[in-house]
Amino acid sequence: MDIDIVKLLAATMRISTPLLMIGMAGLLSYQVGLINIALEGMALAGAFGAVVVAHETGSTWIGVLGGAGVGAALGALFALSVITLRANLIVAGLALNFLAAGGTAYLMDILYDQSGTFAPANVIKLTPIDIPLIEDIPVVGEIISGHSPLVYVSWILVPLTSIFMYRLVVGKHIRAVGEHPEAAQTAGISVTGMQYLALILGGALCGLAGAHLSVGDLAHFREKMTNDRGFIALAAVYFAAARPGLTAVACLLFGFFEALQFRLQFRDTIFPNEFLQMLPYLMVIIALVAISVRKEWKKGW
Amino acid sequence: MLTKRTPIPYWMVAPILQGSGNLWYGVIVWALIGAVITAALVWHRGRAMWIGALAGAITGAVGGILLLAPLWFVLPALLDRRDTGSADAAWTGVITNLARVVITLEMALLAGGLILELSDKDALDTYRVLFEWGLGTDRARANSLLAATPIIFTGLGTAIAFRAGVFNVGVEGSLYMGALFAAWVGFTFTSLPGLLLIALAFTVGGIAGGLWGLIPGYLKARLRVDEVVTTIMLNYVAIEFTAYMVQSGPFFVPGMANAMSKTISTKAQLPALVKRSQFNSSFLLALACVVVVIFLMNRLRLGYETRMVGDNPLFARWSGIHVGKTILKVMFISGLLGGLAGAGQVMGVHYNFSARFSRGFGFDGMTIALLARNSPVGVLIGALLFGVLRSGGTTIEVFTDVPIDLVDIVQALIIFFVAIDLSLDFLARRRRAAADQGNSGNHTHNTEPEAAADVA
Repeated sequence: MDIDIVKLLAATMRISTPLLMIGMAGLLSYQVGLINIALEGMALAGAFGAVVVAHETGSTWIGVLGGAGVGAALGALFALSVITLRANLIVAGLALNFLAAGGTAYLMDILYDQSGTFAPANVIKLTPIDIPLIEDIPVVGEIISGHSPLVYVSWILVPLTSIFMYRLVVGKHIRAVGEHPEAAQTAGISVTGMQYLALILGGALCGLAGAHLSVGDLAHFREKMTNDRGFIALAAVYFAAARPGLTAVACLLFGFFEALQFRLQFRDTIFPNEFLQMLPYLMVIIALVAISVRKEWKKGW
Repeated sequence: MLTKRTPIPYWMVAPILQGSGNLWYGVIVWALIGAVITAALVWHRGRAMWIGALAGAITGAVGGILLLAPLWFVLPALLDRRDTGSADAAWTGVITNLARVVITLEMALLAGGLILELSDKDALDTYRVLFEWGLGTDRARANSLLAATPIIFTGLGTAIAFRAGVFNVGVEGSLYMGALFAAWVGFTFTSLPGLLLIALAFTVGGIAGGLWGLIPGYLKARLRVDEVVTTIMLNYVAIEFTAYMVQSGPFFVPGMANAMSKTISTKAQLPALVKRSQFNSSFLLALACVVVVIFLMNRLRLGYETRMVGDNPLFARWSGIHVGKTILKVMFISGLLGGLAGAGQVMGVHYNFSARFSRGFGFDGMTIALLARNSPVGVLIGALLFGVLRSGGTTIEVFTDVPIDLVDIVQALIIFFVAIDLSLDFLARRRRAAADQGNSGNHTHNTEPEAAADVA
C-alpha cells in the first residue's frame, strides 16, 4: 500500500469537520427527544447563506456568521412546524430538506443567474492557521496544524457540547425534556422552550458546518454540496447513542472512511468504494440492533 | 407540432390558468361539483340537503370568482373530517381524501405562484407552460402518466405500511433492489418467451423488493428497532449496493463508461402504448395494483388486521392478532410494490439498470401517501397530479426563464402543508380523547405516523 498515512489523517481531520458540527447538532436534538432529519437541509442552506453573505459584505468571517444565522433560522422554522404546529417530525424534516435543496438552487438562479455552482470572485476562503508550537512537531504537526480555522472550532465544539449538556443547568433541562417530557414539565421546565433552544442551536451548528464546506474549505457553493453528510452525522449520533465523545469518535471514523475512499478512488482495490460508503449506515443498523437486543435481554427476552 | 394536438379545456384542470373567455363557464362547473359533493356530505351527516347545496354553490361561486375555485373543497373537508362509522362512510372518506389532495396541491401551486411573482417571473405563464406540457397533447399526457407510474407503486407501498402504523421510508431502497433484479432477469434468461420473461422479471423484482422490506420489518417486529432510522439508512445501503453491482461487481460491463448493466433482452422491454412516448404497460400493472390494494385492505383478513394494528397495536394483540406477523406481511407487500416500481422503470423506460437512477420516486410516493392519507384511490389521483407536475416541470426551464428547482420547492410546500394538516387533525383527535378521558398528557414524541390512524 502506498497510501500516505500522514496525508490521509490530515484529510480525515478536514473531512470530518462538518460531520463533527452536524453531529453535535444531531446530538442536541436527539437529547431533547426529537429525530432531526432536517440536519442535511440546514447545513445546505447554511453553506449557501455563507457564500451569499460573504459575497455581499466582502468579509468571509461575516459570511460564516451568516451561514450559522441561516441555519438557525431554518432550525427555528423546523421547530415552529414541529413543536408549535405539531407537524410530524419525519415529514417536516424531509420537507425542509427538499425546501433547502430546491430553495438554494432556485435562489442561486434568481439572485445571481448561476446554475450548478456559485463562485463569486470576491469570496476568498478562510486562511489556514498554523498552530505555533505544534506545527514544528514532525508528523503530528502535519496532521493537526495548517487547517482552516473552522476545523479547530469543530474540535472545541465537542468538549463545549459535553460541558453544555452535562454541566450546565440548561443542558440538564434539555436532557430532562428528552428523557421524560411530562416529568420535566411538572418540575417547572419549559418543554417547548428547551425544544426550541435545542433545534435552533442545532440549526446554527449545521449552518456553521455548511459554512465550513462552502467558505472554509473552498470558496464556492455547489448544488447539494452537503452530499448526505447530514444523514451520515445522524448515523454517528445514533451509533453513539448521542454521547458527545463517542459521537465525535464516530464522526472522525466516518470522516476517515470518506478520506480513505478519496485516496482509493482511482486504484484497483479488493474492497470496493461502495462498501466504504455503505459502512456508516450499516454500522448504525448494527448499533441499533445491539442496543435493542440488550434492552430485550434485560427484560428477559 | 408533430403530434396531433387535442386540447383540454384548462378550466377542467386548474381554473386559475385559463384566459378570460371561459371564466364563467369554469366557475359554474366547479360550483356545481362543489354543491353536489357538499350536499352529499351534509346529507350524509343527517342535515338538510338544500343547506349543503346552497353552501357548496356559494363557496364554489365565490372561490371561482376569486380564481381559486377548488377552495370549495375546504368546506366539505371542514364539514366532515372523520369517519362516521356507517356502511357508506367509505365514500365520505374517498371524497374527503380526493378533496384534500386537490386542495393541498392547489395551495402549493398558489404558494409557488407567489414565489414566482416575488422573484419577478410571470407565474401564470409558467403554469400555463407547465400544464400545457403536462396535459396539452396526447404525447404530453402519455408522458405525465409515465411519470406517474412509479409514484403510484411507491405511493401504494408507503400507504399500506403507514396504514399498519409502520413509518416505512424505505420504499426507495426496495425500488433499487427490484430494479436491479428485474434487470438481471431481463438480460440473463433471454431464451424464455416474451410474456413469461416479463412476468418473471416483475416477479423477481417484486420479491427482491419485498425481501429488502422484510429487513426493517423483522427488526421492528422482533427487536423493536425504530423503523424510521433503519429504513432511511437501508435506503443508502441499497443505493450503494446496487451501484457496486454495476460499477465493479458481478453486473459490471467492461467498456461501458457509465455505471450501467447490460441492456435487457428486447423481449423483456415493455412496448410503448403511445407513439413517440415511453408510456408503457407498467401503468396498467400499477392500476391493477390499486385495485388489488383496495380489495386487500377492505375485503381480506390481512387488510382488517393491518388496520387494527395501525389503529391500536395493543388492542390488536389482545384480540388475538399476531402483531409481529402482520407487520412482516405488510412490510413484504410494501417492499414488493416498491420492487415492482423499480422493475417497471427498468423494463419500460431505461432498459438497463443504471446506478442511482431513481430521482426520489420513493420520496414522491411518501408525499403522495401522506397527501392521500393512505387511501389507494387518493394515491392514484395524487400520483397522476404529481406526474403532471414532474413531467411538465421538466419543460419550464426550456420554455421560460424559471429554474426547474421550483418544482422541488412546490413539492416541499406540499409536504409542509400535509404535515401541518395532519397535525391539525391530530390536535382535534387529542382534544376528543382528552374530553373522553379527562386527561391531557403532553406528548412531545409525535413520531408515530398520525396518518396511519386515520380513515383508510
